[in-house]
Amino acid sequence: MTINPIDLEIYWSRLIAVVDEAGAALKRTAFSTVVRESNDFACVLLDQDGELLAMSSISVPGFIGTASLSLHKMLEVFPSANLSPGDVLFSNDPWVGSGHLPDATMAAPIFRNGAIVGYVVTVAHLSDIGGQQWSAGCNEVYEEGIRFPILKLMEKRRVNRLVLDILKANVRLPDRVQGDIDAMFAAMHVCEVRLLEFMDDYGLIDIRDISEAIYRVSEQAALQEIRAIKPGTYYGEVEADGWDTKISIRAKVTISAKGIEVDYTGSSPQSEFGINESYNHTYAYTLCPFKCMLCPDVPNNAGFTRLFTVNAPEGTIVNSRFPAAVGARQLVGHQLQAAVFDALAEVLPHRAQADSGTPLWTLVLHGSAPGEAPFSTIMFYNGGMGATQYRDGYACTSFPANISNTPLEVTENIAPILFRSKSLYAGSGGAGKHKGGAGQVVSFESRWPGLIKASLLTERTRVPAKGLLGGSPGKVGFVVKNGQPVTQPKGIVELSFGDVLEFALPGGGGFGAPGSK
Amino acid sequence: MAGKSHPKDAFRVGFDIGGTFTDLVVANRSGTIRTGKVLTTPDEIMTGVLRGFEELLSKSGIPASQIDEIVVGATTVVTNLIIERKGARTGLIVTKGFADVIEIGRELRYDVYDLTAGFPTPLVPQALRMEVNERIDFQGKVVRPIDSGEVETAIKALAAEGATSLAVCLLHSYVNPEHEQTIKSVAERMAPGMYVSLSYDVLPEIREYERTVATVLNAYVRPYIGNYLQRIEEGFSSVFGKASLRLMQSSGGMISRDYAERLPLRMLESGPAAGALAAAHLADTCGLKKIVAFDMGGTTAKACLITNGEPEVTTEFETARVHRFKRGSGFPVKLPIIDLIEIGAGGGSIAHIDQTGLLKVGPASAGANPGPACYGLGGENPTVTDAALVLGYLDRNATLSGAVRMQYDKAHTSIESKIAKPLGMTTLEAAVGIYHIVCEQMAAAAKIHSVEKGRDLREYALVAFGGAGPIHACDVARRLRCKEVLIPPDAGVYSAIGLLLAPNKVDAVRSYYVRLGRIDWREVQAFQADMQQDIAAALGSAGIPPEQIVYRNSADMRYVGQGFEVNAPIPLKLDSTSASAIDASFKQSYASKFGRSLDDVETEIVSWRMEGIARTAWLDDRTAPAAAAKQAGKPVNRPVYFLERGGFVDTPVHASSDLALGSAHRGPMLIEQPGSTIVLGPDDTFDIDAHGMVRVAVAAMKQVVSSGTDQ
Repeated sequence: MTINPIDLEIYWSRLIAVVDEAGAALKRTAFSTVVRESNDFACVLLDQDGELLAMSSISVPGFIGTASLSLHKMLEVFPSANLSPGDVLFSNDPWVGSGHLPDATMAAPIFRNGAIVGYVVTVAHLSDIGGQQWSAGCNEVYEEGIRFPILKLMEKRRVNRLVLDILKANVRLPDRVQGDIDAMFAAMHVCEVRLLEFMDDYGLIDIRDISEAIYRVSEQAALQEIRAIKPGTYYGEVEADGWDTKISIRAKVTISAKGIEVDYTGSSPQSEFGINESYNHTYAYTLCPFKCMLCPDVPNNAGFTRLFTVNAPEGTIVNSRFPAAVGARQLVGHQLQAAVFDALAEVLPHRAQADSGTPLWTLVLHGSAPGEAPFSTIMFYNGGMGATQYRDGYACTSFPANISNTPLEVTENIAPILFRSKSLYAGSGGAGKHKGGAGQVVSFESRWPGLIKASLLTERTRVPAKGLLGGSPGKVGFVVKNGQPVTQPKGIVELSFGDVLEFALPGGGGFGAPGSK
Repeated sequence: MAGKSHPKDAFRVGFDIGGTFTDLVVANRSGTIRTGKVLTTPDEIMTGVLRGFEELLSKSGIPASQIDEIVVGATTVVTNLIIERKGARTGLIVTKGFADVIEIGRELRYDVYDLTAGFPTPLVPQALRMEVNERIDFQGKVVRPIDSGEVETAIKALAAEGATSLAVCLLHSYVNPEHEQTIKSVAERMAPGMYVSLSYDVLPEIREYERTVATVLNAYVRPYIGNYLQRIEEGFSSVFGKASLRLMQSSGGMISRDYAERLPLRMLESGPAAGALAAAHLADTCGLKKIVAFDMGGTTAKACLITNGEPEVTTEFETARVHRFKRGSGFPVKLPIIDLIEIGAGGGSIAHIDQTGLLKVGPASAGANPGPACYGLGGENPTVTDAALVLGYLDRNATLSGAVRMQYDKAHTSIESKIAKPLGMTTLEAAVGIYHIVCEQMAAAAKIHSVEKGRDLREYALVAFGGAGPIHACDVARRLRCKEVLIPPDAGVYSAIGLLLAPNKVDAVRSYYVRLGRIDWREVQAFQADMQQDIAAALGSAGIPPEQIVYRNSADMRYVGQGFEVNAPIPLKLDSTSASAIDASFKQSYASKFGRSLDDVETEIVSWRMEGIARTAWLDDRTAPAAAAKQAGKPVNRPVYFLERGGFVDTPVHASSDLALGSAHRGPMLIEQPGSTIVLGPDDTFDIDAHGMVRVAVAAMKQVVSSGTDQ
């Protein structure tokens, strides 16, 4: 059956509205800060074969295509033939879902007239998962929180209380986690109801033809861009601080008329610390820069993802083996884009972007003192974005994830610190035809009678964000306590009353030689 | 109310100055309402406004002597000054160490994959940002006193740089404004002509970036607005005798000219606020509790949910967006504003084929100039209006603003060459596609908006106005599963009526960030008294005596650990016994938005709000606009396309004055009003109610797949 371009546009809009409505419901009801403020979630509709049909538009790129990978793993354990209406499959295993324990993945079949016409998958970063939160310091995944294998969280609409009780007994914030889980249930319900309404409106028995038509036009749009690139194999590399030793990510990108293959052979072996990637998350962040370069306006679906093959050798930092620690896998995942851009800069100079002062830095402050109520707070800061052939990099802008800072005034209300400054890090963007975006310098002093433990998750304090095509690298970041450099900027720094912690976020890389055309 | 003495049937006037058109309204208290439209004259603003009123009054037979002293206005001038960057050279003074806060912003991108998505340049360049070495902590305690010598140096430097307006935003000034006030007094002494906007006055709320931006925006437009409002008031005085100007705020309340001059940012969305009030009034008149106001014009469509008679108010708004329809691409304005979504879908929205080879409509718009292809003003691109013309919804013999004739051939050619041929379909199929796609887009945006608000649109009636609203209303309603559509008489200028429905209203806010169990009630009572005093003074400047003011309290609250707040009403009198009532109100609001509340997480309050209202709206809430007398007329028929019938149907076309009050009808039918046309599908039934409103029982969506065939 062929569908004319007008009907297809209307169907497609409806399907995207289905997942966006579900996404709005999840975002508004979840308790998790990163879900609400940073869109660290996805609501995804998949076709009857589990292929990605539509994904909530505002979701962070870490979920491109992961829903389909997760669902297929889940269906290996619970084959579709044995599923019933009202079943919800669940896991937070990093190697099933999206790379670290806080990300809960749920999947449910959508039935119509007794047959599965599609699936809904939601992923959300829960408020807590136990273990050592926001840390890269663990050596095994066991230390990072509780892990659930693939199981049925709901069976024929009955919630498996035992699982929820176990989950809640193992997290610091059981009510908020329950709230997050409920928000995911609500979103899945919205998705199911709206899909069925859509099918009613148009008298559809299944969505096979529509899905395939959407994949076809999306695929064609991407292929048209891919075929404009000179076929061949291109090599890119990005280096980063790593935990204790420098890491390297090597991307071999092969462009052909049929699609794109990315091979990470030669990248660093997996780390003893929690910066390791799992395959799914590597896959998503590998596709992200291609999305930016080829078709940023075309919604994500299998028509795009099926053009890509991602080969990440097991045991490397981009595809670690269980039970590797993976808590801060974004420290590596967010660098993958730079390796891809680096590979394609020569053949796609007008689309590539120099490396950014990424990923964001995270500071967790804890304090307890006799006679004082203990406190804990988390702060995020972003470095500068990389430049492109057409513009300077944006200063202090989150990329490729999208996480906002916390207002200083809000932080001072929660934590006993006094900020001294928050300024652009002058000159930190790499020079070039276009300059990299500036990072920022932040400093604060402790006003706490006891000791504040500040856990730092930083990157690019040793290895700068590199420039492209003659652009210079950005400046690296630094951490200074009372004027003295902090030697391990991924560890814990203790602050006494009056101590001043100052830190600078790295700048982005420049693009093109300065003064060049 | 103060004013010169008038006969009992005195008329009050209202005006809404837009970029292209100015809408006018005149009404007396017994419900005689007349509306008009005139071209805006941006260079001499009163020329157009007064000419329009002269025509409207003479047409309506109302003598100028019967006009009330109070004149109510809305204007897009604040928005335009900001968008066009034509405001004052503005200086900024901040706490030492934080001059870059305005540039760093919230560090978020607003488009996940578009690497070219840039941000608006701050309105204050680096050279005009000064730091002073002072510091107040989160409890309002002075950590480092301010040095007035240093302030003098900063102000001198700014004056030397040519700054004529000054914005001041110091850290934690929302708890303790002393240092900001010191800067103000120094500025008044050192630079008497310089306008000063303090963040404590503009937006005394926690979150330094948002507070700084609002203060800067206010300072940026302030020098211009004083003069602008003065010219308007003088213009009216010269024609109507003594005139006293009131302005509409974005929140839907009226304020005095004096207040508007100090806080012009409050007028940012005054026009849309009037529209929402007009729709709320209509809902009230028709006894409807839940409506979605749908206002579709030339460039955009707006949708606003009105629940239990009141438009919802939010503090999430942005102005001067780099991408008009992308959230996060503009300057945040966290002031109370009527909550509506704007969608890039209007009569001028351009249809095009995108990267995937599918048909898309908007958000790019042909605007009024060159306009749709059918205007024949040089526009080549096919628009929503061109599709409406090809489908027969608009009259191909109609003239536009009395001068330009609709050019059917141009519409047809444009759709044929740019859409139909490349897609291998007939021109009619393409036109049908444009119509349905634009309706689907509006429906999708409205649905997501309603979910974000925790509302179910199926329980809402759709009220359509604006030039393009009535053409698309029934189709949009079908897609939203709304059961009823209402279209007022004079839908094209209906929103202006809202100007005469606005109460006098001023709001105040204080940030006191505290867990419910740890509130210092004496502190609360102190700032409550302070807010009440501010409100009384502001309403006093509009001639409202204190005893007429009704106060309402609310608070922005959340569960400890959350990052966004829910506003809920709280008692007016607050003391140590209030905590449980506050908590219960929060939980109720929370549950109504999100379906559930929690019992075992603590509640915290971020901001405390107070609103003072003097309900002296000119048109009493329950007075409906009386319908004009009817002269039964005969319809003319023309072929009109309806998908439900798979083609063109010979359809009766009535002038709105043709249909008798109380009469019942069945589609297909077109009803033509000045400036808009109501499209009623073949299965829709409707009647004309006592107020001249068209009330449609919308037929359910048919299962249709094919887009039809050519004529």
